[in-house]
Amino acid sequence: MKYKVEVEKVSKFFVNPNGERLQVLDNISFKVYDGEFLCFVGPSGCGKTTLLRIIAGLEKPSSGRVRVEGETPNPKKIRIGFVFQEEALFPWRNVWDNIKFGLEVRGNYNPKIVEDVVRLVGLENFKSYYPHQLSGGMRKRVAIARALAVNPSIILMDEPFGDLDAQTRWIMHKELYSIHEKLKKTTILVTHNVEEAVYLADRVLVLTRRPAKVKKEIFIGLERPRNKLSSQFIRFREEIIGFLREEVPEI
Amino acid sequence: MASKFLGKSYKTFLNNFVSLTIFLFLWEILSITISSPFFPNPLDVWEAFLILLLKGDVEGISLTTHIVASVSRVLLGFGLAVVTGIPLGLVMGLKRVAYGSVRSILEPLRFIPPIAWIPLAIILLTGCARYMLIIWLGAFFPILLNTMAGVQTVNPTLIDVAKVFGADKKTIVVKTVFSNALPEVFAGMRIGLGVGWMCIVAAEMIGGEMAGLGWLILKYGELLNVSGMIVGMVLIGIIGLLMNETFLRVEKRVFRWRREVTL
Ligand SMILES: Nc1ncnc2c1ncn2[C@@H]1O[C@H](COP(=O)(O)OP(=O)(O)O)[C@@H](O)[C@H]1O
Ligand SMILES: [Mg+2]
Repeated sequence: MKYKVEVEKVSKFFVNPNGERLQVLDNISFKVYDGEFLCFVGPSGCGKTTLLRIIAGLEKPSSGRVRVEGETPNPKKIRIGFVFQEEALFPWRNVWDNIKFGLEVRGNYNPKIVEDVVRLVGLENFKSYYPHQLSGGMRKRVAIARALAVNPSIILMDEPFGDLDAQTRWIMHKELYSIHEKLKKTTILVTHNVEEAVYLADRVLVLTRRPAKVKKEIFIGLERPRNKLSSQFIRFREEIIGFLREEVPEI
Repeated sequence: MASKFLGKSYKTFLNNFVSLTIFLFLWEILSITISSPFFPNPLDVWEAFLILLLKGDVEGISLTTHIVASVSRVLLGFGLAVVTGIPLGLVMGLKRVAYGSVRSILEPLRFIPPIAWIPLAIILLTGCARYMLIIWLGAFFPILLNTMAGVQTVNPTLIDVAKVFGADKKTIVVKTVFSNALPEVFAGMRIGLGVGWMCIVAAEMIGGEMAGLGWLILKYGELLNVSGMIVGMVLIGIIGLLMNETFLRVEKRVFRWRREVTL
């Protein structure tokens, strides 16, 4: 199968508390290749989270259709790794137990798998730590490890590093890059950080303001690992920032 | 760090020792000033305690029998409150409609003190069921309300985490909603046990059996044996304290993932 995810003419409306219809997604179509790292950048509030939730099957599109591995998204059937924008670790579970959560739910817990992902994200020495005992970067690693543990067919990441400081974010970019190199999992990452998108993505889709449409598609044809300071890198970055600025003039 | 902690608890211990000594001293002074056969001093109470401990009460029933009788009754009523309060709290916390629909029954019921149920219990029930009703009434509501409150504090994102891994309803309830509510459930159980224990005298007023700390107090009251009465009262206080402390300790262990256990 060539495409892992197919999104066809998807629109989404919400009814907000005062009864008005709010359109969040406007006729969005795109496809994601097997093994691709796709990034969405878009102004905040444009509908990025909603889009990911629809792909994950947590939300239904108002119109249009989504296919993941050729089927309507359903977490009970397709293994999905989702890294949420908000803090989403179970505070009462330690690192190990958080990471094994998905396996436990699916009834195929295997310590060896957990051990492997723990090593992959470099948390060998923190297995018995509780979330409140970890730094922000470590908590993100746990969230990523938990998503990876179920051997997902797609990984969806919703602004995973938005609340980290610049230095930690830089480190996490490198780690996520090497994880992707190793596992080659189809990944969709949503961000408003253009540098992050250019560093990680095979392809970047720029979204418009709400209701979101795909405004531009940019293939990042740069060698990996990428140098954030190279002139080509900066050219891509400036190009995308230019598109975003058309949506949000304040940038 | 350890020595500092030790120092702190040692200091607390010392402070409590001092205040207890002052309390007993003031009591002694008061008893001297009042100087009535119905106002015993601490030593009289201690003596009464020793007699009870070594010889049993006026009817020869041992102190342990009284204690075991009371504690087991409270645990029975409390157990009933746990198995009714937790599931109901879970359901009503999850389904606001369910709670809304029975609010007009539950809310007034909560404010009828267990002691007001005594005549009804005497008429309708016998023996053990009487104890259980009174203690259940005391323990049930804190457990129910805390469970309900705990269920509602679950972070919706955690439910999404479970859903995205394909969890079914039952798994979501058990592994996110209930796990999240557990500290509150425990706190409710601790409070419920305390309130249930406080109902023991009321329960034993009507149980009709000759054993129990509440019964002991009532019996010695009739005999105007004030020292013996006070022994019963103090024992109720101390056992309540021990049960509460045990619970707190268990909570601290079980919920060590929290920064601290709030009281
Ligand atoms: N469940 C919902 N009900 C009503 N409005 C919603 C809901 N979820 C999101 N929205 C609205 O949709 C818009 C897009 O939200 P979101 O997808 O979270 O944007 P982003 O992730 O790009 O910041 C926002 O205006 C938000 O208020
Ligand atoms: Mg968002």
